[in-house]
Amino acid sequence: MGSIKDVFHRMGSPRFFYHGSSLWVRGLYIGGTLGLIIGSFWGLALAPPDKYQGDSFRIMYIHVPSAHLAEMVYFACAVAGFVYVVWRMKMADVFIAAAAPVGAILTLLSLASGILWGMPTWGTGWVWDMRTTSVLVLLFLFFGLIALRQAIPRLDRAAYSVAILALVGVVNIPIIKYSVEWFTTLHQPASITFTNEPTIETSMLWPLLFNTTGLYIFIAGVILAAMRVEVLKREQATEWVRDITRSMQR
Amino acid sequence: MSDFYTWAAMGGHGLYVWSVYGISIVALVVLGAWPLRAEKKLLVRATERTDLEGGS
Repeated sequence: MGSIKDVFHRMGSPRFFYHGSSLWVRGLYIGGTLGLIIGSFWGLALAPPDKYQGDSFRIMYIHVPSAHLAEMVYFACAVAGFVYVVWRMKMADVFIAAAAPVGAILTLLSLASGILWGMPTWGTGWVWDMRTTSVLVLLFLFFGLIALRQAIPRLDRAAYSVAILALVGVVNIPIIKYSVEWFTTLHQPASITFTNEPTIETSMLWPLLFNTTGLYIFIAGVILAAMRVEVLKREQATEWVRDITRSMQR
Repeated sequence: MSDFYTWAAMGGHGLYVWSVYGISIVALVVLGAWPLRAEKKLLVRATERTDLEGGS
């Protein structure tokens, strides 16, 4: 029990995080890129065309992972918000500051790919159904996290307000997830669930798994790298950052 | 060669499919490169500050 508390405390130290994360960033970048290259090649060149959608279904290999990950990034921000509100852990706020812009770009990517997928398959790029609208709300929530932080000059007050917004906004995640079941929509229900066999053909499933895993790993690397930037910004006057710069001068 | 063009045309959906992959590559490259560049910049600036303090 003591060791868990010890790890928790050490993870809360910006200095420990900065020194320990350098190799992780490189490894996650390389692993994620490899997964994305394999998944994209498989999805574009080897997977058979869909019976109804033809080759336009290959947009799924970008749309589904980016949409899923955008939701997960927001959920992680909410967990970090909870940790900040309860324990005032600085690194939890660093995580939200680093992850919010990444989540916004992922949401934009999922919306853009959805529009470009909708054009050939639905005959329209945008419908105001619950899934699309709730993902648009997710984008505004990410923008809100970024804007709120910039609007409040005092770091601790900004961190607290952003954490509360992250917690409140998490109600949107189950709405996105279940929107295809609760409301009438053009979106199809989930093809992969934890409880049932996937309804997607195996030859089409594998590239999706590679791309999803690759994107998860790559984005983990990006968020870690962005957290390192945030830590440096906040700690630049401290002795341990000065030690790093002194070692760079030698 | 015609096989390649047939594949690239994506059954008439090439514009949509390749646009999505193009946008994604740009987004991921920007996402990946931005924090690395920002970290480098911050460290260079901090080193310059340490230099100034050392010199004064």
